[in-house]
Amino acid sequence: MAITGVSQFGKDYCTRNATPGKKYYDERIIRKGKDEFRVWDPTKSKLGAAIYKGLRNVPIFKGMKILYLGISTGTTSSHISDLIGNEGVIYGVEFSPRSVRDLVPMTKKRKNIVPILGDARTPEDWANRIEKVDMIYEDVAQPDQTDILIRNAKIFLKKGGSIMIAVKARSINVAVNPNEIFAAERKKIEKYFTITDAINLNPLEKDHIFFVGKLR
Amino acid sequence: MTIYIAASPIGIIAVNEQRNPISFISFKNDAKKRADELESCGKKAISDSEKKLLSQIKAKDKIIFETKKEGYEHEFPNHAGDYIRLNMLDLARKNSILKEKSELLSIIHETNTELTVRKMRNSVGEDKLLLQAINTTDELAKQVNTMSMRLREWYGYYFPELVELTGSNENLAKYVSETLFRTDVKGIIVDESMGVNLKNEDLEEIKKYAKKIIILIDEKKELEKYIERKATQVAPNMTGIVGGLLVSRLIAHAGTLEKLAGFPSSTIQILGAEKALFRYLKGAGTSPKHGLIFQSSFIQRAPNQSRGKIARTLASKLSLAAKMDFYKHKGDLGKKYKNDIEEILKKEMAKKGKGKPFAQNKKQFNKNKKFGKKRFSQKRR
Ligand SMILES: C[S@@+](CC[C@H](N)C(=O)[O-])C[C@H]1O[C@@H](n2cnc3c(N)ncnc32)[C@H](O)[C@@H]1O
Repeated sequence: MAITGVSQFGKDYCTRNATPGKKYYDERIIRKGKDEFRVWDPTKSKLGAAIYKGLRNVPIFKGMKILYLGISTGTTSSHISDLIGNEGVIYGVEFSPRSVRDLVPMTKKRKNIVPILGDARTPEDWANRIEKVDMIYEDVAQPDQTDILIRNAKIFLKKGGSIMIAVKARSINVAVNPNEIFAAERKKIEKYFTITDAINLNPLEKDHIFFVGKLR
Repeated sequence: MTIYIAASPIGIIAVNEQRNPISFISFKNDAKKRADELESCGKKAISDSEKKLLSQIKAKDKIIFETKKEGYEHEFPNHAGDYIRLNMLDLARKNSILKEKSELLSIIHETNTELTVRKMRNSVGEDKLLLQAINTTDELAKQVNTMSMRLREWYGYYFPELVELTGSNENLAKYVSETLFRTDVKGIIVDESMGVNLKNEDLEEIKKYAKKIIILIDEKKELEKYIERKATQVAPNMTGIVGGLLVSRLIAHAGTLEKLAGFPSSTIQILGAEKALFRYLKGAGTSPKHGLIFQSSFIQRAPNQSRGKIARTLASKLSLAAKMDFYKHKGDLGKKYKNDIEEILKKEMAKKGKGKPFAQNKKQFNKNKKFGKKRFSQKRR
């Protein structure tokens, strides 16, 4: 099964570069005739790792609106930006000014990424700057990240919308076995969402699990 | 009736309980103006556009904003916010804000970029400048050390006796860059030197190198003066207690003054001793008594038995001072706190009069396994 918009060349998963000639992290470039593809580095992007580890049901389509919590410098979102095209939009929330400094230059090239310097814990500070969305992607590596996701979903996620969340066991509790943490987070998420995929990212990301789900 | 009000990049909307729009004020078509409008909407005072919208609503209606507003109720999210976030494109079309669908994204993009860039401009606090400066002094110190080691080896070919005699790196670099020749030295029997005879040309290169070391040492001193000045502005109360260099180290360790101000005093006490704390948590070793603040003269002067107490006192005063510095309470309480600690220190020294000051008590300290032996002896050298 293929993922819409994602091409596979050999072992590499790639997205067609919407901005030919421009790279955003140290990704490799593959050229096929006139087309230019950027290799999705599974060691630098958790969604990349999930795809590498077999995720096929990726709820990303052309023209969709996404809220991205913890967009950082935009490694993963650069590929999502390739997938959603000019009609789509990523609202990228990041609270570290240092990361946003590196993100903003990319958003000047990729107009479908909207940079928001703000805290995912306080959506009331930036809610009046965005629209409702079809999907929320969260990768904030915070102990209360599941609660943050649920709160944002209640405010911004449209009916039938999807979620993707990368759960890092160590940022929740270092002393507890990762599998126990994954089970507990899963339970919390399942109160509001149906989980369609759960991909363990080992060994690409240690003690990480990637959940994909849909609003109930 | 209850009316809900919320803002968006295209304008401000009012909707009723049935979530039907009843009024809309669109913003001027300019990213900077839109950003101004949204910033005003985020403040407590009613903005001009909000006033305009309110004037279109019946006086007897109850009004609920989506953000905190003076004299009004608020609810987040409210019906108006929900409505405009779902129907922004429709609304923009109906109010002839755009001709093409793609223009909405441009409006949102430009407005957000403007707001984000504005916030970035205010995001580097002066505390970050202290952080960079203090880290630079550390790097300079390291570099001076490395270069001095080479100078010792290099110049040591020519004049090993002098190198042996000169303990301080700075003095050695000064001597080499100013005096250079063996024959100019008094007090050493130059004729008996084991040193190789080097040509002037060889010695000149060593001299140049020594000059570079001097430049770095001077730079470090200048930078430290700057840090003292800056720390007095950024964190006057803390600086009054322990001086700007240590304050900057504490800030650098915490990341920002804000974070430091948020730490309880127990955290400030062991800041910089995380490794020891980790060892303790894993069951090896005892809990660390003090980290970076170990460098302060209070603790250095304290009698052995009182160091824990002095560290606790110092940390609690620093914690109060950090909060005052961050929240900009005026008054120079640093000096007062400093005196308070001095008083306690005096009492401790009197009480345990027989206990020698810590610095003279090295042997006993080295035996004391509670502290990192190695780190201690390295530091004293
Ligand atoms: C693991 S990185 C994300 C990497 C990114 N998802 C990628 O793959 O390109 C986590 C990011 O979340 C940010 N973050 C953490 N807590 C946050 C919060 N409460 N609000 C916004 N951003 C947050 C951090 O500053 C950091 O940049």
